[in-house]
Amino acid sequence: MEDEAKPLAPAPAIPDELPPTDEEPVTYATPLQMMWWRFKRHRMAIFGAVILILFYFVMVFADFFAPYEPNTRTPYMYSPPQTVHFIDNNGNLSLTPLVYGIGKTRNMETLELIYVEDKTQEYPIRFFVHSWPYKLWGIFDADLHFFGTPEQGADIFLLGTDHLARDMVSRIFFGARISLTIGLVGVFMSMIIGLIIGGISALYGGWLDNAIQRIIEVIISIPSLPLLMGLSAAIPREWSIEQTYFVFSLILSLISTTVIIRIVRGKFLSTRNLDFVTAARLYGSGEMRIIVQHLIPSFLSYVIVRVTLDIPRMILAETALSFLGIGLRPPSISWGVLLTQAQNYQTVVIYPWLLLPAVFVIFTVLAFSFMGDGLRDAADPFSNK
Amino acid sequence: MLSFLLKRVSNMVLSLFVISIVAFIVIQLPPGDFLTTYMAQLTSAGQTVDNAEVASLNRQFGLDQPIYVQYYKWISGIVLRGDFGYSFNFRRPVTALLDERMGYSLILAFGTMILVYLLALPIGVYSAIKQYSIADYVVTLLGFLGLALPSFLFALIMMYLSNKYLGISVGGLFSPKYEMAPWSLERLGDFLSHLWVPMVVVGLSGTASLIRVMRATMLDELSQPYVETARAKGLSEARLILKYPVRLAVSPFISTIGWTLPNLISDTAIAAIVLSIPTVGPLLLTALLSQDMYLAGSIILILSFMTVVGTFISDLLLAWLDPRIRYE
Amino acid sequence: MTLKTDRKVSRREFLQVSVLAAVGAGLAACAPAATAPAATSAPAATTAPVGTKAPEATKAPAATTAPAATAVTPSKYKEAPALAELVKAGKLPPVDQRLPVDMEIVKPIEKVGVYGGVLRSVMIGENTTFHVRNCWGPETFLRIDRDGSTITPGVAKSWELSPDGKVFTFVLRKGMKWSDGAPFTTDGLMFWFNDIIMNDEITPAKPVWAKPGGKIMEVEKVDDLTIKFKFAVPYPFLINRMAHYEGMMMVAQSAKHYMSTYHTKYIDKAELDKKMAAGKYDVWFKMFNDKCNINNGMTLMNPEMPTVAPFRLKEKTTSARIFERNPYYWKVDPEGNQLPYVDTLNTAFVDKGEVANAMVASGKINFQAGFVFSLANYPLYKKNEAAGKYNVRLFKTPESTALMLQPNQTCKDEVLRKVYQDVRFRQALSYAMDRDTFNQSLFQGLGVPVQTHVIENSKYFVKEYEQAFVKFDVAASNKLLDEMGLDKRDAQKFRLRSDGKRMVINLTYTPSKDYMNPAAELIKEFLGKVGLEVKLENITGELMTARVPANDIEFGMWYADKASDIVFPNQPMWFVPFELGWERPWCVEWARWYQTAGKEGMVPPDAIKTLIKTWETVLSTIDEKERVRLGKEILKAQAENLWTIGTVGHLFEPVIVGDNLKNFPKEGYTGYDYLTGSHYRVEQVYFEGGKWTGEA
Repeated sequence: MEDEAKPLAPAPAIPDELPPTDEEPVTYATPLQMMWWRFKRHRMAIFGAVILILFYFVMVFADFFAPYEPNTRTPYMYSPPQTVHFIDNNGNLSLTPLVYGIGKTRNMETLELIYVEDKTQEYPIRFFVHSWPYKLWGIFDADLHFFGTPEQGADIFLLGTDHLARDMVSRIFFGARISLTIGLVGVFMSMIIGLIIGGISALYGGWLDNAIQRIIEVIISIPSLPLLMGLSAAIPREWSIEQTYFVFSLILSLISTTVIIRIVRGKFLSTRNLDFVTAARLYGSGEMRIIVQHLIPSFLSYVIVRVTLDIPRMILAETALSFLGIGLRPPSISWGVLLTQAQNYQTVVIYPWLLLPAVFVIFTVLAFSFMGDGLRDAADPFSNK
Repeated sequence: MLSFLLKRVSNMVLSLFVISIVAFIVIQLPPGDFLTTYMAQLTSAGQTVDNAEVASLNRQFGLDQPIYVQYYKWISGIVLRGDFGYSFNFRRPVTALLDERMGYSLILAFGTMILVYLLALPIGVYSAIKQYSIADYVVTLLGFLGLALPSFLFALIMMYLSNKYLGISVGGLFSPKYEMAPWSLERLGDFLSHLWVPMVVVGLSGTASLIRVMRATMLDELSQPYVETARAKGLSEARLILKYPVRLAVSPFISTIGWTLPNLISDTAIAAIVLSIPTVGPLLLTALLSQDMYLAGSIILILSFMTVVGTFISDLLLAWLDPRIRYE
Repeated sequence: MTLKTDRKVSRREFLQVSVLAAVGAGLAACAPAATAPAATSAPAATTAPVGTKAPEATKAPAATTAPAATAVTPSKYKEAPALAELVKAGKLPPVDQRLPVDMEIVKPIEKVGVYGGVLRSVMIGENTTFHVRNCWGPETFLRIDRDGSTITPGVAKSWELSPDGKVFTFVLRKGMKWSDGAPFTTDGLMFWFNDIIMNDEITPAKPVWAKPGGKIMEVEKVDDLTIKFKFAVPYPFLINRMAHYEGMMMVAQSAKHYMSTYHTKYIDKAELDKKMAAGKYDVWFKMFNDKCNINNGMTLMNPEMPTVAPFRLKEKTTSARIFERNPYYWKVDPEGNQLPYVDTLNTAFVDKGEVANAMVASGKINFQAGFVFSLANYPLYKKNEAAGKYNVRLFKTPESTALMLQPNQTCKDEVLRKVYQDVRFRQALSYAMDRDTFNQSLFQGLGVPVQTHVIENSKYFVKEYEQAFVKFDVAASNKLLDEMGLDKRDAQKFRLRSDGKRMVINLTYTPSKDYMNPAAELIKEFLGKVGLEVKLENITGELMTARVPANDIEFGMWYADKASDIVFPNQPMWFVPFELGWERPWCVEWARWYQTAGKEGMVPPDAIKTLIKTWETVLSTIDEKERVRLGKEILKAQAENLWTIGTVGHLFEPVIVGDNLKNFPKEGYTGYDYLTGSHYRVEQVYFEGGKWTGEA
């Protein structure tokens, strides 16, 4: 110590005893919590998640939120969206929102239906009304609805009606049931199938592995749209809605499945020889246990994130194919189907409110994209942001 | 290297062979065949269909043969003579049809690709550099919008808008006036004025995703230590960015350039269908719906061929570009 | 284009002949162009049309009176300026030589026109060339008059039916030429018969219309202009076929001078092989087909194929077909101008119907008579009339009813079959239909409630038959259903059958028209109100073609087309089970019984058997009055029995006509029955001022 140029500042005194441990508990965050915190930072992702929660909530309780049964015909074909007023006939502010009656005439020259507000009939909009009966989820009988115009002869078309005089709001809400779930179902199927096949491929190796890889290459080499088109066109028309839905989501998930298979196989191959797996083996864990308890969780989050990013693609694919007439068809109700019936040039020009389901598609896709982004950022511990 | 090439090429040929079988089967899956669709169409239009005509057509098209015979005839025609078969719908050889349309498809795809790259690269770079600025947010939002907007809807709206406000005639690639006219400056102008609508429609989503990728890669690179070092060494910002991160970020573009083209051709299909542009996409859809099997099969085969070759080229390019990747 | 002039005609010779021709042309003239469809001032109609006088020889209108329509004797022949230029340049013979001696003089609907202009129409999908034909149609052997039922001369100048009704003698027009100048003679027709119809490779199954009574017809050439068709049984309906699709195909396929260069019988194998290799064909008759348009009946594929239509194909691109004037067209107007007036016909191709709508709205179409535009889009067409420089007219469709219910009265399920065969059930179905709602929500309120019948301008039309059971009467419906034993109901208020199971109607349909889906939903609603459950199934046309003949369809839905005099009663689709058809599930097994002469199928009830007998008699009845009487009996059976149930009829289809396009009627009919353009004579429409006002 004598050789040093300058003596260092005196070291702080080391206390004789450490402070009591129960005063300052050591907290640790689980990986999940850390993910959540990182996720929270991504504002757009939160925004996306909120929108999705809202959409799914409405979808689950579609019967409750829809003012009409989606296939009910009203007397008003092609009615434009009604305006909701807060100022009544006499110019007074009304706390209850209200709509006016609908006056319908036909322009005999152009054969167009003309709708005007009939101000002599004022209908207040009430919340939690009793209207058309339904079976919630097929189990509970109910007839409560979120909003409606309970008075006799009153109609409320917040987003207008279509070419068969059916309320668009109700159809959009019910359409969500297919549009919002087909992505989830497809993605779920691709995950399960992908995990199983990828696992088998990696574990058994040899010619089976080779064969599966070749098949995947073939599938990837065929341009996706023609492949989807070809397969969808092959779905027999006379199948029931449920059968068509199931097979169609299977087809849509084809591309995802191949991606998952590759990822899973890759991860299996790279992690199976890592130290912690060797350790588990030495411990005497069975192969299956290793796979399920160790390997899968290690890349599950990655898979989930990849898969979430795929949902928007599937929703868009469903919409596009139904639009072309080779996906789902009436009487199925999905946003894609609603848009087919609105692809008419006349619609774009004269009845543009029939294109509104597209807005919902856009929001859903955006929400999933943001959320997927957020998940990916949150799950990847090596991200810089 | 040679053995690698050989192995790769033989793999490709095998893949294509399998693809041809798959494509053929997929097209045959819907019940009935071309003739039953044709008959149904005729009767729906109020025409009386004579069984004599149907029987005659059945023989001509070889639809009375078993399916493996039909397949064999088709594939041997391709391999031996470059003959892709006969389209029932159009009553012409497939090659003639493709000749007509492939040109436009390629021009449209190329044009879109160039447009997309020209737009996406600079915007992506700019948005990465000026992260969190207003421009960045706007670009990000537009990017997402481009991804989320269904292409057919966009095509419909563009069709209406371009017609109403710009007077561009709808449908096809030429105004009626220039349809049959010989090539001239005016005709070129007319052609371009029609071409930009589908290019924008398709290009929008492509641009959006490329911008995102570009931005993400740039951001990754910009936070690397070597960038700090370069700055510290006094390199100007512009030179710095162009010389290093951009080059690295561009690498995924180059590597995917191979199969971008066939992808674009099939991506433009929906917009082309809505706008009635005579390219390969609408041809494929019509062929699939009417079970015009040689036409549909040939298109799928050709597009897959382009994809497979393109992937191969991309792999080669990547290997050449990125010294970190080398094949054993 | 090879310009072949056959023989030179001296001026003097010509003048002599032309006077004779004027008289002859006057006699053979097509009168129908004169007036609105309702009033038939065609002399052909006033004098007895073919076949009315019973046993004695019947002649074409030509022999009976000189029609008032062609009083004007053409003095000098004029032609379009572009053709005149070609004549001056020596590329084309003078118009006097191009026109036949027996030319047809067409009286314009409004007035004589001027040359010039381009007709613009549109086609959806490549495979719909028959739509183009239906829009401006080529030439048929005989013609249908404007009244929709009288037959008048066409390519054939006159015809005669032998007293026993089995032999037709047709006379062609002297001097008539193909679009490349080659003469149109009976050699061509012989070629058509011997080398196309009788050639087993091209036509493996012989067309039904050519073998009435099961035996294929015989054709005998008398001379260059006269030909005989011989049949095994009396066949007065041949002229209907000759005036329609079959007559058109025959004419189009008789260009022997061109077609034989692709026919295995006329050129040697080496040359044929060379041609096949050039076009990459593996069988010769495929090449023959394509070059000569056997299956499309129109020269839409091959510009070299000659035609006798007013326009011939000049060029094909990926998005259009261009037709130009046929310089050898064999018709003139009363002032001697060679027709057609219009220079060019330009048909655009699009893949989707919406683009066609957009094209109309932006003023790109000036002539489209049917098959492309639907009534639902009428507001769009109407609103853009001024900007698009066209006007949209509503033509009637030749459908008796746009929506027809077809209970399969021969279905497999025995209990159901008994129910469907009970006339009270079908009457109850009819009473349960709220036709007004159909009308309002599907057809803009423009239609009229009707039962399945024939269309208004038919000579078999009977108003009370058309209005049978058309009233909307739920009480009456319920009463009938109760009476017939379907009175018991289950917990959901649906009726039960005699075997205790719920009465379920499985309605299977192909939505080939856009209103069929909502219509099916409405039917379900209406029948639900009288206690009948309906299950809907929506399948493709291909599947339908397989399931109907297998008798797997219990209840179908279609539209009652072929309800005009052109088709009825030759093919009484909805009235007599004479043939298996996938759009006719109402009588599958009865039709099979008839077609297999009793070997298969189900024996029909006596009422049906009587109908079949009546129909067979109609087919061979030569006397017009007797035929009408029998035809009405067939329709009476429909009105009483309701084999099929009609809903709404008298509907329209929008027709687009350029602002200044003249000589096209304000009202009329569209549809396959009418081959609209041909029917209203596209050759005499013209643009006032020589050019469309909307031409850019």
